[in-house]
Amino acid sequence: MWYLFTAINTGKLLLLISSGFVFLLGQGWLITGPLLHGSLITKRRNIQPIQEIPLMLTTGLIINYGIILFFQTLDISLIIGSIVSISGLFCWVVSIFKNTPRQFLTQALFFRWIGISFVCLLFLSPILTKPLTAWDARSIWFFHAKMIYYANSIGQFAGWQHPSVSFSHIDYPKLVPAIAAQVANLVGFWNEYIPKASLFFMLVPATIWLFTFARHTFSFGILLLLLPFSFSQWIWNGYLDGYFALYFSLAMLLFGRYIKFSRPIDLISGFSCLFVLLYIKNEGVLALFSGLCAIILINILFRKKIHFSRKLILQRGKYYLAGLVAILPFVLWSIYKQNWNLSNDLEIGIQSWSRIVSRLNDGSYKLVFVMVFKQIEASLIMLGLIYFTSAANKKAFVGESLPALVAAGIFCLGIIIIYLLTPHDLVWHLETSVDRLMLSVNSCIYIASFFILRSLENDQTAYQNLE
Amino acid sequence: MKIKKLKNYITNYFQSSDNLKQLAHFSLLGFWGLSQFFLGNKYFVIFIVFFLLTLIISRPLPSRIVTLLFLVIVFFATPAIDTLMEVKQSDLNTINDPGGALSNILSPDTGREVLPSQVQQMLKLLHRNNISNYQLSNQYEEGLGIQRIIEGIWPIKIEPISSYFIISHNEIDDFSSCERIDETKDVVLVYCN
Repeated sequence: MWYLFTAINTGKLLLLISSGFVFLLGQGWLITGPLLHGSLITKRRNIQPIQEIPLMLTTGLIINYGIILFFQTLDISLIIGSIVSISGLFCWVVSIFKNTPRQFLTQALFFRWIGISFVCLLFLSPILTKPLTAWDARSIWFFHAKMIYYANSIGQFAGWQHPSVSFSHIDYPKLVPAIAAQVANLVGFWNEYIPKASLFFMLVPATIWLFTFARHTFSFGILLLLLPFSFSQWIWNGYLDGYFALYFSLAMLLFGRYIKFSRPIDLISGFSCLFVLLYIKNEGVLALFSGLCAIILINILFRKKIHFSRKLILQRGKYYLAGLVAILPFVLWSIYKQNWNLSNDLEIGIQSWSRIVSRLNDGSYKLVFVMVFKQIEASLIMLGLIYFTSAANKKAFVGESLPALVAAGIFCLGIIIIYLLTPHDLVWHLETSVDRLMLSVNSCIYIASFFILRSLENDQTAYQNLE
Repeated sequence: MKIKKLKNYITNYFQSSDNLKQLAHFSLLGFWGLSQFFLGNKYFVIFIVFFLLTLIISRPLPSRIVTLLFLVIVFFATPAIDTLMEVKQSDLNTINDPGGALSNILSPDTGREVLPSQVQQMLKLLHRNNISNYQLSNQYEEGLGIQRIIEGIWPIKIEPISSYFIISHNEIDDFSSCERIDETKDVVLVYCN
């Protein structure tokens, strides 16, 4: 009897998770298909599924969030989302049958999928079997999910304006809370475990992207240890800082590869990671800005290679459309926030200047610098040593590492400014958040180190041509 | 003769831009080590000195040394190994008792035991008496614990117009005019007109 019960529950969980991924894949193809192939039913480029699928999943996450925000009611958005997803799936299946990729599952790709499954399954247990105990997870992210679930709506009825929830940073983006509420809505109840499946939906596309860099090299092993594993409990405790850092660093990884090979899928995937950041945390705006600055710098330094992307941006309407779809949930949530008077606790505005000036005058900026530096010290040591090794071995500067370094620098500077303008007690604000916020800076520095290490390995076949 | 040779070597060394670059890098590395010493990071200083010596003795640096350097940093300066241990423990627990884990995941209202005991009691009182809104006494309204109460009890909401008050046993005298509805070990539910 016990075995039967366990088998049924395993089946239920597998069904829930796999249907979630199918749901996202279908929605994602409606944007990814035209973006990559110029068609929904014909694959014009031979792009490996290992690169296409994470892009579809991430795009699906954004489209699904957009649908929830637009229709507001969970039930209705689930029905509309399912219709959209089924039509997308139909087109995807047709495109697969019309044009089966030449290298659908080579031995190398097979081992990559095994690796992806292994890493994802390793994290599945801590994500789903550890209940929500962390402070922000309970007070912010999964509380918002609970509010959406019980109101069956992300709209005003959820209770965003209720005076008792003002502590909960109600203005924060709702991508993960919305998915968590959807999951709870699907199973029909709330508990402290199952809504965390939303974190798994965020982890899988990131892990697949990570494995597109897989090689039998030491550098990839280090990358794997550094990216998901050095984030520790931030992957499963319900805070979103780990996922924020993961997607930010992935964007820089993909931009780095774009510099080397100029493949549009890397640029598009990098941007999709940056857009997802907008919907994970408010810091996503700063991350997007940092990422764009990095891209502009690459544009200046690697003019010839970026020529393709300029043509891509100026001449093709489909990129405008995809950009619009990617930014629409941000616009919608901003409008709602304005209409419902949901303000941010940082009170950013003209009054911020006086706080910055006062902190510069009273010397508390030193505390900010010291605390920030302490967090990034180890990764800087890693970068420094690998840079000196590269210099001693007379290697040229590794251009792929540039986006990560530029974005890390700008993001770090932005965070320092945020600490300088915070209306909260500075020591409290630093002590409760600096370690989490610096995860993103650290992971970008790791990415830069990874690229330099990879060039030191002198592995000319370091990147397998996946296209 | 030897002095002349040494002089020639030094002159040639500084005439090569590559060597100058190397020298600049070594100086920078030494300066970095020194700054780490003044910052009090003795562990990093040892590491940098070891690295500097290795770099001077052996150029180009063998990939094994680079590998070792990276491994040392990853093992000692990141929580990667602790994470692996924690993930392993969690996975083993699930493998040992899959039924329990799945039952927690797929049953309603599980995991409430993570809430503070008083919040669990409040939840019990409100559910047992079918109360749809409540107010908290001063004792519970203060401090960060109120966040756990509000989110733990949601969708039952705090309303300033509610006649139901959640109080502690030592506040009974302050609510003497109210009707006592129900109680648990630490918490009392009263109705105030």
